[in-house]
Amino acid sequence: MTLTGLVSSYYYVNAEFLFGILPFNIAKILHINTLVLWLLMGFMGSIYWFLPQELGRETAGVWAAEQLFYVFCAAVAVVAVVFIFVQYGSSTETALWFINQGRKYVEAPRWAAVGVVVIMGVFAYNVIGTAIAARKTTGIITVLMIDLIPLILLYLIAFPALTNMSADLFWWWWLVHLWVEAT
Amino acid sequence: MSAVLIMLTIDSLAAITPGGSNVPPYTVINQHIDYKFVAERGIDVPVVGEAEPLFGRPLDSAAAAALIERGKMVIQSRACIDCHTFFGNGAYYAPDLTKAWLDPDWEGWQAVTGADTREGAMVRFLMDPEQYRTWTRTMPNLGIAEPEAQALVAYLKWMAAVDTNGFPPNFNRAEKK
Repeated sequence: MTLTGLVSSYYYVNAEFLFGILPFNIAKILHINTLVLWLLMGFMGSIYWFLPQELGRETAGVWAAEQLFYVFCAAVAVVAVVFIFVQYGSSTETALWFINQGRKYVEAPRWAAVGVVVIMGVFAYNVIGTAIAARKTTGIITVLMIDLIPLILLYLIAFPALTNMSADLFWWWWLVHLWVEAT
Repeated sequence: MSAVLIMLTIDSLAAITPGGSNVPPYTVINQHIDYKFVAERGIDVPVVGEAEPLFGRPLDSAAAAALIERGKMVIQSRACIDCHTFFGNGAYYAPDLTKAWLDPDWEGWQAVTGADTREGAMVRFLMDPEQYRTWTRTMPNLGIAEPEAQALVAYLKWMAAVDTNGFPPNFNRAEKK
C-alpha cells in the first residue's frame, strides 16, 4: 500500500515514470484496494481475537476461519498480480469477472468479490455460532451481529455493472459511505 | 429515518433514470448537445437540440442503449475512473469527463487527427492516445478497439446531456473571455 502510494504520488512529479509499464490507475487501484483489505483483515482479526474472551469459549468454526485467512491472502496475491501484469481486458463480462471491474474501491474482479462474500459469510457464522454455542451474548456482540447484515448486503453493490453512471454512483455511494465507513 | 431514506432513494432514482428529470434517454446521442446558462437556476444546463446523429447514423432506442451499455463496459474494463472523474467522482490525475463531449479543444484535435468530425477525432485519440500526447500527463494506450472507442464516445455524448445541477461550473467560460 505504501509503495504504490509513493509510486502514485511520484507520477505527479514525473509523469513519464513507469509510463507504458504501470499506469497511474493501476498503481492507484493497488494502493486503495490494499488499504481497504488490510483494514478489513484487521477488523476481522481483532474480532477473532476478541470473541473467545467475550463469550468464554473457542470460536465456532475456527478451523474454517483459519483456512480462509490463507485463502484470502492467496486471492489478494492473485488479484494484485493480475492488476500489475494483465491490467485490462476488453469490454466484456469476462474481463469484469477475471481482471478488473473498474469501479472505485471495488476494482477487484468479480470472482474475488464472490470470495469476499464467502469469507464474510463464514465470519458471520463464526460470530453468531459462537454466541449460540456459548448460549450468551453481550452488548458488543449483539451490535456486531446486527452489523453483519449491512456488512454483507451493502457489499453486494460491488457486483452489478450498471450502464447509467448516475445510478451506478448512487448505489456505489451506499457501498463506500456505509460499508467502508460504517460497517 | 429509514422511511426518509427510502423515500429519498425512490425520488432520486426516478430523477436519475434515463428519461427522468435529470438524465436524458440514451437516444439523445442522435441530437446536438449544448450547455447554456439559465438565469432562473443560476447554473449551466444541458440543452438538447436538433438532429445530429453520431457517426452519421441515427440509432433507435435499443441500438442506442446497446452502444451506451458497451461504452460503460469500456469505462469499467479500463478503469477510467481511476485516472479521470465522472460527475466529479473518481481520481484526480486526469480531467473530469462529465462534459468532455463539449470540450472546444476537439475542433483542434480534428485537424491533428485528420478526422472529419468531433466524434471521429475522439475515436482516433482514444484508440492511440500515446500518438497524440497531451500536455504533461500522457494518457496511456489501453488497447481500445474502434467499436469500443465509438461506444465510449457515445457514452460521453450521453453523459454531457445529463443535468448535473451545474457541474462542472464555468465550463468553457474562460474560452469565451
